[in-house]
Amino acid sequence: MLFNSLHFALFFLVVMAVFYVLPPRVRVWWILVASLFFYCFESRENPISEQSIYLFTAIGVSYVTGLIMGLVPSEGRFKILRVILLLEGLIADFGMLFYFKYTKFFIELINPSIVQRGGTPISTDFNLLMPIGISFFIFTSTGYLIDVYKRKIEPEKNPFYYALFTCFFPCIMSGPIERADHLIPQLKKLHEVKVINVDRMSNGIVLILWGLFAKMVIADRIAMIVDNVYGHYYNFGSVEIIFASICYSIQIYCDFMSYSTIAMGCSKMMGIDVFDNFDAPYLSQSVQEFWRRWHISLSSWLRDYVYIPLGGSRCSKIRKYLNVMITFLVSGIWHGAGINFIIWGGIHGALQVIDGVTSPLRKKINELTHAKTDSFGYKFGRGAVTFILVDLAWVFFRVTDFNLAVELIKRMFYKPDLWLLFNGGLYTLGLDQKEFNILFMAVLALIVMDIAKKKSQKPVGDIMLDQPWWFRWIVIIALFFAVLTFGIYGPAFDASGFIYLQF
Amino acid sequence: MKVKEVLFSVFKSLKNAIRAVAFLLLVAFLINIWVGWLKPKHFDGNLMMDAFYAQQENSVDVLVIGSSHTFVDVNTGTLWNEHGIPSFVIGGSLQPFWSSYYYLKEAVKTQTPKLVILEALACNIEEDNTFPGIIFNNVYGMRWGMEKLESIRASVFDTDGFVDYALFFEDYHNRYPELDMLDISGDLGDSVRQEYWKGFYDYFLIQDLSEPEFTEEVLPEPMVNKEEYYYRLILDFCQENDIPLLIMVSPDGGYTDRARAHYAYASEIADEYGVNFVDFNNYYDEIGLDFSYDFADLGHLNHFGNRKFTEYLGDYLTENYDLPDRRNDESGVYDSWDENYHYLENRFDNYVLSDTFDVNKYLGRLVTLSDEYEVFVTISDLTYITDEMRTYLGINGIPSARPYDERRWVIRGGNTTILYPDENGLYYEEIAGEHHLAISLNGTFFDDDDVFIELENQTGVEIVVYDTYNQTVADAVVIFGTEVWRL
Repeated sequence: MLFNSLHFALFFLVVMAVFYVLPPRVRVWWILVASLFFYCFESRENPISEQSIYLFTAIGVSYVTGLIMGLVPSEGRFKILRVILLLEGLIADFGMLFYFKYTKFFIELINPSIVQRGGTPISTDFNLLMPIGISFFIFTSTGYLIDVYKRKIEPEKNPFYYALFTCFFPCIMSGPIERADHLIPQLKKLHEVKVINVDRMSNGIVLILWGLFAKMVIADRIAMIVDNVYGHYYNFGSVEIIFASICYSIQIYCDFMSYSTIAMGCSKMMGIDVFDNFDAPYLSQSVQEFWRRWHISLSSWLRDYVYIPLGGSRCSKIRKYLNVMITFLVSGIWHGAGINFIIWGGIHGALQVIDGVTSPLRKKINELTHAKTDSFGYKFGRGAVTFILVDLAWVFFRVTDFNLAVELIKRMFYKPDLWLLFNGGLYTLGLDQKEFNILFMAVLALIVMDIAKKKSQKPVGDIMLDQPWWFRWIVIIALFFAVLTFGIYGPAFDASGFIYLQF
Repeated sequence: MKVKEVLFSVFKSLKNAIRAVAFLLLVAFLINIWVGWLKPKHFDGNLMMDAFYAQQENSVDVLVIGSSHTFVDVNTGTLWNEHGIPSFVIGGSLQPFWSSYYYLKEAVKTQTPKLVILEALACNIEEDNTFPGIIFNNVYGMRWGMEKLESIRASVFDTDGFVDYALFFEDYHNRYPELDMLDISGDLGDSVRQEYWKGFYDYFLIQDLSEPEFTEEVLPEPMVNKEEYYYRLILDFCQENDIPLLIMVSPDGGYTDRARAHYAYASEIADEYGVNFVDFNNYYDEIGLDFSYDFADLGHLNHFGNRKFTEYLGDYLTENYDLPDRRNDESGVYDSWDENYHYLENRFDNYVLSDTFDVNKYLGRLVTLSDEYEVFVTISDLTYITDEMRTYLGINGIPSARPYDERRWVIRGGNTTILYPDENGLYYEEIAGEHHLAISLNGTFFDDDDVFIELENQTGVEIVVYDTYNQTVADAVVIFGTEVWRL
């Protein structure tokens, strides 16, 4: 049930209608039922999918483990028991993730050495149907276990609250990856949510419309350029490939940001705040800042549960850089079982290490050249360099074949025919002039919104709440009709899946 | 203090409620405008339903439903002019019987036809007949209601398809790239603007075909089950409601033995109900069809063919059904059929004018145009002007001695008027009280129709003929020497 499908629209309308009609104390149970329905019936071809069992396993294991861990004292001879319990929970959770996501990859990785030693390679002729959203609900569960182990939170005693925390329908498929101390208290106060709260509702509607706009007007439209150029790269020159790479950066941002934004909007309409997962990432001044603004719930998860436990930055510089590399390699592996994802993670880690190593040198050069580091030009330059680096790394994310990714990057530096930018050549890449103009205007709106977001440091919905009512009306109506008119949907199109659903 | 707080809270809630209602009303109002702009506007299935709903209640005596053969073969003007039969065609490309069935149910809500003619092409369609274009053309023109929902349900295979098509905006929004001023102004232009449009569309193309050959005997061959189910529903419906029904196969240049076999099967079913089934492909000679001249394409008759066919059909109807001649009715109910005939005649005259390439013949036709036509003349170059052209101009009081004249002339009802430019250099004329023709040095255009005719850099005498009755440009030419060039 995709967020940009009519099925979801109907589902959400029913959920909301019943939510406000039910006695307040029952709301939480209703959301739990709705969440389980949402997950179990996500595939109409395969209702009550067998894969739901893995979600229930993750919920059960983490709940029971957390509960027992809470009963075991942290000090003395029982301390080891807590470690064992934590490991048991983590192994059970990560075991499932590894089994579904990495078994094939791992076999393909070790097969060459088996063959080299004269053995028979292990067959990879099997198909493991990965439970949708597994990377997200496993990280949610494991984060909870670690927090309980660290006594950062008390274990949740009510199994239904815990289950809802793990399978809350706006977040289960593609995040944001929630934290127990953030979401569970809100679930417990659902009965206090006022039925009529115009500000909250309009905030939620703005978020949902903005998410739909990003997905249906920008991401699915720009995908036509990306798919065409990447699919037939041999027909295109450097300008087209660079342009398509920039388009892909926009596509993946809008695609993923849209899901998180719609999740935020849906949650907001039920009186729940979930994490804002994106904060104008392409306006970052460095790769490090990019990761503070991109997929924030995952970045913070990796920071809290991988980077800091490894020692974080409170250690030697070499160790710190090693920790950064490990964290980003984990991030790469999390995104997918493939060398390309590891390389992509590695590039981001390496860029941050290089940034850290060259930082004193750059400072020195700035001092010597009296560079105006606060000026718009300097910031723009840094932002542009950051965007280019992130953009180049996306090539490895988009193209699963390493050699092909290298070939594409090489092609970016062939003799560029810059006239293509002015002679209408861009209109032949998959979108005609009208569609291109619509895309251009939509991306312009995206840039304006991101600048507003960065300046105000508020989510889109809150920015709109600060505006006069008539302005909010104009924005909501404009977004509504933009999605209705220019969105990519309808019988002639297949509802386009969200890229991050595959992770 | 507490009372004040409560009052404030009530006031705030009331304010929010009013604001929310106002917002929803505004959105509903804008959606209505949006639908008006993006609604498909073609004669094939969509606009004919608009015209159908505009008919006076209980004025249609003969209702024709079926595939595209209905709306290009059954000439409503001829049926009226020759036989006094007020008819209306609800046709759509490859219309399946389930669409025909729900159209029929929809139609009888406002009309009490004395005869329904069902065109039978659908029983000869074997492939899956539910692709999007078919559904759009045969469902979307209908007003919202149970018939429309049922028609969509019958057209699709599953709930997903139903939701996709029931939510009309999924189709409408795909029209945004082709949106133009016609959509926004609501002025639909020639052929569909008229309130008196009866669903018939006259084709003027000519395709040279050979008469189909078929063997003497064919064995009846069943039609697709779903088509048969709805075919029988139509028969049942007409029987239950005492509506006389005629099932016909219209003349078809692509007629085959396989088609005959399906029609034979459909004919047997019609016999079960005691309903007439006439395959007009058995009467080519009686109709007088000339296959080298009377078809627009393989399946459809052109103007010349549809007149012959409709005259024959009209004779058959008056002989076999109780259909009163309404031509002498003075109640005004049937005036729109007079207008429909007039519209079709003008449309044909316009076609003849625009198909004339000989200067002398062209000028001859200009002279015989009725007062409903206005002729705009611009003289750019007199170098190669013929004596006939000069005579024509002279008769109309237009001097032909000053080339590159900045004046323009309009010949209206036999009188010639000089047009003077306004401050923007536009020669501006109001036509038929609504439409305006503006001529600039760069071109001739209708300000509200967006019809643009380039006059710049032309040499010779430019003539734009405007049909005030049909409110359309009948023709726009440059006459250069003995040649007539279309603009």
